[in-house]
Amino acid sequence: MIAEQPSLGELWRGRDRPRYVFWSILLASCGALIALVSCLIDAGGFFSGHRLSNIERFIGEITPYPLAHPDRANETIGEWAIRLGSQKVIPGSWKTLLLSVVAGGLAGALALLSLGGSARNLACSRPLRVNDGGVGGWQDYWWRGVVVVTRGAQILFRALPEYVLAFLLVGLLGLGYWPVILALAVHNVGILGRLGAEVVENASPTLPRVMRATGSGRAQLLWLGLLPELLGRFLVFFFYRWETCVREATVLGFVGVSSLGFYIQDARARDLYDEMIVLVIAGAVLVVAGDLVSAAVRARLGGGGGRRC
Amino acid sequence: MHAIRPIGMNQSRLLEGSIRWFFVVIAAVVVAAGWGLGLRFGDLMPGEGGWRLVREFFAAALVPAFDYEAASVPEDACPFWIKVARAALETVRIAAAGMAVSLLVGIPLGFAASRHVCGSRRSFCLRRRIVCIVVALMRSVHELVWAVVFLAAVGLSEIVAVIAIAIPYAGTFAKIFAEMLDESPDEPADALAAIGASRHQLAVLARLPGVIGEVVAYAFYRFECAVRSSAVLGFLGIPTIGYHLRLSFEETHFREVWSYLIILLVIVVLLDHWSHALRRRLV
Repeated sequence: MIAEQPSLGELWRGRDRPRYVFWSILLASCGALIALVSCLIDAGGFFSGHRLSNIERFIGEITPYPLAHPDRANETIGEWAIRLGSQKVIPGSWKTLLLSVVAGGLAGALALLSLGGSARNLACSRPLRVNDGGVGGWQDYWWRGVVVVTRGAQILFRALPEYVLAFLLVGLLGLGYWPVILALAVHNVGILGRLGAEVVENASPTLPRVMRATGSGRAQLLWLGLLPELLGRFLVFFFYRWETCVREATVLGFVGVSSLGFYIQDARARDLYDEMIVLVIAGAVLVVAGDLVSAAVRARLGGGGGRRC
Repeated sequence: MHAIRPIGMNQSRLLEGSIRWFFVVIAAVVVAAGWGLGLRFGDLMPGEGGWRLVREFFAAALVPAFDYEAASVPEDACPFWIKVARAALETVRIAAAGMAVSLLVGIPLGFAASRHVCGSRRSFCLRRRIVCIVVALMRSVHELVWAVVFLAAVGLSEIVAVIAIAIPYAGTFAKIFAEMLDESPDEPADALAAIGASRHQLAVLARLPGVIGEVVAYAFYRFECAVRSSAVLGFLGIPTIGYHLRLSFEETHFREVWSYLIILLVIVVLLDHWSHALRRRLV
C-alpha cells in the first residue's frame, strides 16, 4: 500500500511558517529600507559640484608625488618607495602582526581558563551528571552564580567594540601597546569563551565521565579528559579570531599606537594621500596574507577551512 | 594525590600528536611576539595619577549620567537623554542602511562566487575567480579605513559612513554566502539537474532553500556587528555613539561616557538575543 502523496499545493500551504521568524524578517527588512531611504534623502546633493571636483583632486593626489611632479620632487620614485617602505610600511605591518599575535594568544589563553566557569556541564555541582555521592544545596547556587558571572562577562566583553575599548584604555593607562592588546584580547575572550564553552558542552562525555567516576577533579576533566580531544577545534576558532585580530590591529593604530593605522591616519592628516593609499594597500595585503595562513592551517586541522574564496 | 590513578590520566596525552605540538609552537610564537614588541608586565600598571583616573572611571559606572555633567550648558541644548537616544538611533540607522546596501550587493556577488553557479565552462570559472578577488579586496580593507579614505576623498557624511560599512560587509557576506551554497547538500540539486534545470535554476531553486535559514541568521548576526562598526565610525566624526563617547571622555565626563557605553551595550546585547532566537528557529 502506498499512501497518497500530498499535492505540491498542499505541501506549499502546509509548510513550516514560524511566526517569530516571519515578523523578525519583515521588521528588519522594513527597518533597513527605511534607514537606507532616509540616509539617501539626507545625502541628497552630496555628490554634486565641489564633491565631484574633490574626487578628481583626490585621484590626482594619490599618484606618487615624484611621479606626478618630477620637477618639484626632491627624490626619485625609487627613493620614495624605499623611504615609504622602510619607514612606514614595514614597521607598521610588522607591529600590526606582532600586536595581533600577542592579542590573539592572550585571548586564547584567557578563554581556555574561562572554560571552567562557562561550560555548563563542568561548572555545576555534579560535573557531567556523574552521581558522585551527592552534593547540592548551596553548591548548586554557587556554581549557578559562577556561570552567570562568567557568561555575563563574556557577553559584555564581546558587546564592546575593540576600538572603543582601545580608546578608553589608552585614555586610562596611557599610550602604549598594552591598551591595544588588552582591547583586542578582551573583545575576543568574549567570543572565544562562548565558542569554546559550546564545544565543551557538546563534547562526547564518555571518557571524562569515567574519569569523574574514578575521582578526577574539574580541572583534570577539562585539561586531561576534554581538551586533548578538542584542541583541534579550539585551534580552528583561534585562527578564525586571529584573522580578525589582524584586521582590527591595523585600525587600532588610529588611537596612536604605531600599527599600520597610525601611519594611515598620519598620512591623511598631512594630506600625503599617495602614501596613505600605499599604506591602505599594505594593510589589505597583510589581512589577505593572514586569511591565507589561517585558511591553510584550518584546512589542515580539518574543520571549516580549505575554502577558496 | 589520588590513591587510585583515574583512567585516562596519562599525563603524556597532552603532548601527544601534531596538534599538541602545534599548540606549543603557537605559545612560543606568542611569547616571541610579545618580546618583539618589548612588552613588560610592569607597564600594565598605571602610575599614581593613572590609578586615580581608573578608579574615577569605574566609580562613574555605578552612576551613569542622566543629565549633562558640564557646569554650564547652552540654553538651547536638548535634554541629555534625548541626545543619547538620538546618538543611538543614528547608530542603528547607519548600521541598518549599511546592512541593506551590503545585502543588495552581497547576495548577487555571493551567487557569482559560488562554485556551483560556475559549471565546467572555462569563461565562467574565470568570472568566478575575478568575483572572488573583488570580494577579497572589499573585505580586506577595514570599514574604518574605507571611511578614512572617503574622508580624504570627499569629506565624511552619513552616506559615506553607510558606504564604508557596506563595502567590507558586502564582501564578507558574499564570501560566507558562497561558502554556504558550496557546502549545501547535493541531493536536491542532483534531482533537479536530472530533470533539466539550468545552473542558475539549480542555485536558486535547489541550493538556496537549503541554506536560506542559515543565511538569514547570519545576516542578523552581521547586523549586530554593523551596529558596533557604526558606533566606532563616530570616532571619525559621524554623529553616532562613538562621536559623543569620545567628546565626553575627552572632557573627562565619565558618567556621560558610561551612559553612552550602556546604551551601546543594551542595543548590542538585545540584537545578540534576537539573532540567537532566530538562529534557534532557523538552523
